[in-house]
Amino acid sequence: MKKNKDNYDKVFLPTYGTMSMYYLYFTNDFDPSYIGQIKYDVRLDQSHNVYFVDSGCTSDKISPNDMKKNILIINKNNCSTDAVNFKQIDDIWGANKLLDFKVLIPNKDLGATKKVTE
Amino acid sequence: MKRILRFVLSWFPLITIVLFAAIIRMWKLGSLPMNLQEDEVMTGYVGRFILKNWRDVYGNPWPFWYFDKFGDYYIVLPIYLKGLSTFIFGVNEFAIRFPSALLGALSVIPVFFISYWTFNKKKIGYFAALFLTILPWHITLSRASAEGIMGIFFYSTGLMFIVGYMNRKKRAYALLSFIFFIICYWIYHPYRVVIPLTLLLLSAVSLFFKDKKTLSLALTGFLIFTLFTGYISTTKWGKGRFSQTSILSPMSGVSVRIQELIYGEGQQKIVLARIFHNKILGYGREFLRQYSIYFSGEYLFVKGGLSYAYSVPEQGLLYFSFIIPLIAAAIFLARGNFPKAQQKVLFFLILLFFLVPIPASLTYIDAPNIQRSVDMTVFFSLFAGYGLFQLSEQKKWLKVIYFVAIAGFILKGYIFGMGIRCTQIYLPVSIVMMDKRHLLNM
Repeated sequence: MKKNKDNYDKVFLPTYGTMSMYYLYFTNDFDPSYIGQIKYDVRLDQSHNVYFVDSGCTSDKISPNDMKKNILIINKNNCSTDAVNFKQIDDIWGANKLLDFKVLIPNKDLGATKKVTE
Repeated sequence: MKRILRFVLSWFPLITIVLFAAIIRMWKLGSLPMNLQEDEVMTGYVGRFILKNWRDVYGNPWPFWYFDKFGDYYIVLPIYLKGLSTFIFGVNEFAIRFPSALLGALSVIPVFFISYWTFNKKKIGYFAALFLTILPWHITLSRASAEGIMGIFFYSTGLMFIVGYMNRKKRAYALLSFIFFIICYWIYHPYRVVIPLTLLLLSAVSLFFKDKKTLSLALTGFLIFTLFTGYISTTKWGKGRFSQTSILSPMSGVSVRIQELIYGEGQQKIVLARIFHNKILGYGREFLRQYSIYFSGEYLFVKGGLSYAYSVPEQGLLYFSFIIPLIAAAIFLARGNFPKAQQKVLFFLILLFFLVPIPASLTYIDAPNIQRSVDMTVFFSLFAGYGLFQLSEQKKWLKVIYFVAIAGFILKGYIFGMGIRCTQIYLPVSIVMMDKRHLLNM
């Protein structure tokens, strides 16, 4: 994520609870500009071009406008991926081999237009 | 130089035990347990954020009492310690877990001195310190950056100075115990109840043994800490956690059960309902149910307790082989003919052992909770140390039990090591379960 996030307009990460803190901690991001942005349940909606979506299945929450952009979406392993609108380009594996994360981009050839028209 | 060498030589066994405890608690600390849990990473982030920006993530400059996570009020000292640790070890998993692992390892020092000063035998102190070193309960929590482990270091050090004061009547010990006890208020919530209760018990024991000096100091301490706890309990941040977790909360289900019983009694049975299904009986029964669990074999030796973040699969909190020295301790304490001064300390410590699970028994969330009851580890180590010492002193067949107990500890130490390894295998399964829990909550 650290290496590739700048190659995209927006990156969408699944989150619940204070999961955004994991991202900020491991990217060593303690920018004081977060004061006021971090909500009282220690949630954050956005850090630069990274968006923390309050859902495990991030791809369900992407707006039609964002689908037109150069975006990267991370879905949790238990999401049923919409194969028409999204193309899986990679997996992210943590220490737990049972729980991969799916790395998706919009399927510009067909799916994105379909979703936008819907 | 000679002085230092002499000091090291005279305390060599204790220094070795502390180093052993540190190795057990810090080996692969960054990767075992496998992932940082939510609270660990949040407190580590907030701690470093405050130290770097001089204010917390909401803009409050240097929080003094608490950090508010939407009504869940985290006490600040562990947050500062974790933040400080990231400046020493870098922004990683190890740094967040280091403070509790270090304080967990250092806790063997007060346990040694409590045992040594109580029984006047260094060997008992070494046995007790060694028991705490290898205790699964203590190791697991030390490695998981649990606030309770940080608290137990300060609490047991305060207790060590109380025992020192009871024996030697040095005012410095009383002052030091006061300082260590007050630090506990900035570490972990249950100490805000445990410390006044400890001093109340000390007052009662001093009164019983007619120890006027200890009585006056204990009463003064009790009043100060009770007022302090009283003040904290009137604030929203002070009562926040208790009202969430307490058995008095409507969420505990006790009030619903009382209502069910009242309805079950039938109409026009007000007197019967008031006698048999009142709040005192209802909440009292729940408290006793919770309290008894903390002394049950299943909790201590077989299954352990909650929360899931601290559970090691197929591993109790104590080793089965602890049963031998604990039974021996009970027998020899009952038969023992101790001098009056020693009786007083022993009486105090035995009663304290039964008192420390009280705050944990007043809660229902994640109960039985191994962190809220972690103070019991000090007493289990103390009594097991005494029991093993007594077995080692026997001349005949009882000595065989001593060797069996020693062999048991070595074997179980190995098995617990395997248990930790097992978490590498089991964790994916437990994470799937946790994941499902989260999904259900979403």
